[in-house]
Amino acid sequence: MVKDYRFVGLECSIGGRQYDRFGMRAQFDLSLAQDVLSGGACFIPDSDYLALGISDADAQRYGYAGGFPEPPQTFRNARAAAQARARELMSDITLLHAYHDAAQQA
Amino acid sequence: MSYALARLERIYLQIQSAFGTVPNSTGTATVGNSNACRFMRATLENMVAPITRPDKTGTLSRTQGGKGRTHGSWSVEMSLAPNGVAGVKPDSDPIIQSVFGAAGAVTTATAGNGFPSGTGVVDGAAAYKYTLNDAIIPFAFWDFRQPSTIDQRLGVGCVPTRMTFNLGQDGASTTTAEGECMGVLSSNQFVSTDAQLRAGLTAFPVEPASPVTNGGLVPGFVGKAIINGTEMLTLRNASIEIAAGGTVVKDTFGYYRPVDAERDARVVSNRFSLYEDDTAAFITLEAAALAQTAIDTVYVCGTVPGSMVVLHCKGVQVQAPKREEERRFTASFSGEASASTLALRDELTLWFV
Repeated sequence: MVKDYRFVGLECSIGGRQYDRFGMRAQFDLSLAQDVLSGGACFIPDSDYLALGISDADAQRYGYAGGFPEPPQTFRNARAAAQARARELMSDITLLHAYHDAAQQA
Repeated sequence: MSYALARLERIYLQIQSAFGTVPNSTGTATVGNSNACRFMRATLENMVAPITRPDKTGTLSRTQGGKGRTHGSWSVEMSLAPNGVAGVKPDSDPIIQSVFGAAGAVTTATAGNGFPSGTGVVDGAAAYKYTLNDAIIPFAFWDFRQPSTIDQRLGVGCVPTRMTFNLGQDGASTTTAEGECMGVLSSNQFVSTDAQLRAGLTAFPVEPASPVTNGGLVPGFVGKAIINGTEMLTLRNASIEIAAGGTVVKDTFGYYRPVDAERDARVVSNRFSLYEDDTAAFITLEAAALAQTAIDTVYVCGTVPGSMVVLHCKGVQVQAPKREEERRFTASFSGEASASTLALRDELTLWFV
């Protein structure tokens, strides 16, 4: 079963598809999600992303690395928290199981 | 018939826990999407030395020979590409691990962790750090091309001879690496290949379907150079070369192919070119060269957090500068780095921040 993820990194490519804006949506099954995180691509579960309270408008406005205008501190804090979560998932890929298991139960 | 278009090529890198064994699960290669790495140019070559019976025959004609010892070589050129998110290893991690002789580690950019001052990186920022060690870490170097009927290749037991980081280009920062390997396994020759080069595989795999690669562009001319404790505003270009000393053992009795790898002394060389000026920093730098006083060099490549690379060389004894003239005089320095203590092996530390 596929689940929703959000890109919280700078730029990556998965099977030829480019992700280059913070907050971009993607859908992965568990196997691909594990490959994606193991491969260093910074994605987090959609539920984790939504919990950070980042609006779509802010993600659109500030989501490109090195873009202008400079994002406000609240956005930078949320971005740092999202990336910390991605690093946490990379260090223990089994954490993804709970996200996918929960989806199956739902 | 299909041609092999040069742009339709991807490489995948995997650490090997044993020189002669490619990562596999009961004979099936485990190369996957997460092992992909973007690059500009790669070579994988088999070197087969023919041998002939040297005895005289009574004529001047040459007799036919046979197959001698064989090994492989590899090289790759790629953008110096961090992950894009600080504290996450780059896609080229297996090559860097092999060159450094140790895995990198997630850490923070603080003075307590050895992070140099004056870089502009926020104190305590997440970082991925490589420190030199003396282990031999072979890796598997997969090269898949399209269409899949074109020969697909695998460098087995790759060890690095050298790696170079280049700064100051008008385009992207680049890095190059090269070395030797046990041999290059070929998909089209797989069935006729000896078991040693198959390295535990029962079949040559197809390319993973959804390769994952990371990182953006890091301009080669953006960053900072701190040489001998002072930010040098007149740097033109720089390079750091790690002669890693890795090689395959080519003289083991009983084997056509190398069965192991070895390393020799590691040499970290640093070259940089400046515009000559009359500042105290330049005068002090030249004095250090003339006195053979060791200096530290720090290069920060990039300015965007997550896409910055910091190369920190210690104990560099630079030679007297070589001056050249264009419209201005330039001065080129070069020298070799040395560790603070032999146990620390800190002649070079590499940070992705």
